Amino acid sequence: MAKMESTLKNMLISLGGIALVCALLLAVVNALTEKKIARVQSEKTARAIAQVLPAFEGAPIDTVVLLDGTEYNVHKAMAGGSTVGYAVESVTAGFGGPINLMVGFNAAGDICSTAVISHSETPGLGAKITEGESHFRTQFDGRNPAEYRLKVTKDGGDVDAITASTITSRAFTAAVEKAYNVYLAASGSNTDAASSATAPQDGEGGSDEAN
Amino acid sequence: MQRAQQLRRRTAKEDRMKPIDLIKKGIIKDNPTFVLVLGMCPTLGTTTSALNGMGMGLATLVVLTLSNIVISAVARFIPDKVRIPSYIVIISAFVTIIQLLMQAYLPSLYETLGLFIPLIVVNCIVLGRAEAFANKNTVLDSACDGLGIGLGFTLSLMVIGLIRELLGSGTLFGLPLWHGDGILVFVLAPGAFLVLGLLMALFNKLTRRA
Repeated sequence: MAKMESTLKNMLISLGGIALVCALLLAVVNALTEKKIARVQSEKTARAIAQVLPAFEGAPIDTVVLLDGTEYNVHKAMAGGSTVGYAVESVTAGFGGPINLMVGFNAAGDICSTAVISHSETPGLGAKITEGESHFRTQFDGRNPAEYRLKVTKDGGDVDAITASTITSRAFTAAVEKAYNVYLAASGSNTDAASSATAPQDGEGGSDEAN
Repeated sequence: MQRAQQLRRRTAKEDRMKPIDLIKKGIIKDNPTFVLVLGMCPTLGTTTSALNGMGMGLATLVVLTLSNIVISAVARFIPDKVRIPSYIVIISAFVTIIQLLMQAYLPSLYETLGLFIPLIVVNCIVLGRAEAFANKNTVLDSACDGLGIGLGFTLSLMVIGLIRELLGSGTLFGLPLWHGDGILVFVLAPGAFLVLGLLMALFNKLTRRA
């Protein structure tokens, strides 16, 4: 069979036909995988939330907090009718790309734990932020950013940076700080008068003891 | 009579390679990584571990085989002047399908390979085989060619990844072989170039002798 000649009509028909068939095929595959992909992603988020917060009941309440023109996903966890804590999704630019973090705060504003959702830091250097046994990520646990300066020691803060990965360490720390600001905004606006009245008192009591 | 038979056999051998030979050719003689030196971006970028290299190789293999089959089947209906855009549309459709399936069923692999999956569209191996082989050969031959080149690519990436992982992190397919840090440079970009270069030299020495 002879090859199709390159007339305008032939070109339009063949390229248009191919594009149409491909588009239909993609629509079918997308429809088939859409739900599964969404489920995989929400499972991942749920896992990260469970990892950074103390035990809670039911599904966390998802809200979006707008701070400095950026939207942050905040997950509020409840147990026995009171707020257990907030898990805040935060992102900063690391060394190799964005670092996505989930940071958990308890009701008093202490950092419970942190989890790295995704990152593209250098393996063996900056990627140490994901390692569970590494000192870097766990040094934030249990700290209250009200009195714990969220800057690496090089910049006059309290955070020990990973050796040879200052940029990653700074980015991680900045992400935690951002998450804390989001937490302050979220806990201030979302809690009712009674709980917002008790929360600062707890905070003051803590700092008084420290002094 | 004998001469004619001989001649026929020779032309048959020259014109039509057996499917198994086409597959073998893609792995050894026309190895995309070590001989054709095509698709270097994913080769250097994704081979930080044996599993990543294998995943990238297999994703390319599937896209390459499918696009080879489809392109060889529809090539004669595509006017010459729009053949490249047509191939790109077909290839990118398959890549997107693979991407969606990976996202749904292999999320952890998708996370590590993420950026490189869409880049298969512009992988010179895939377009190169479409242009150099699939558009003038039968569907079966094109499928075998895609399979062979894809296997060659997968094996090369897996070997590079294996060596880099072993030296760089001291693990084998994620299983720790010894404790402590490896030679970090092999996980980083310079290590990719080192391993690729040395393997290429070794591969060419071995195949040239044979």
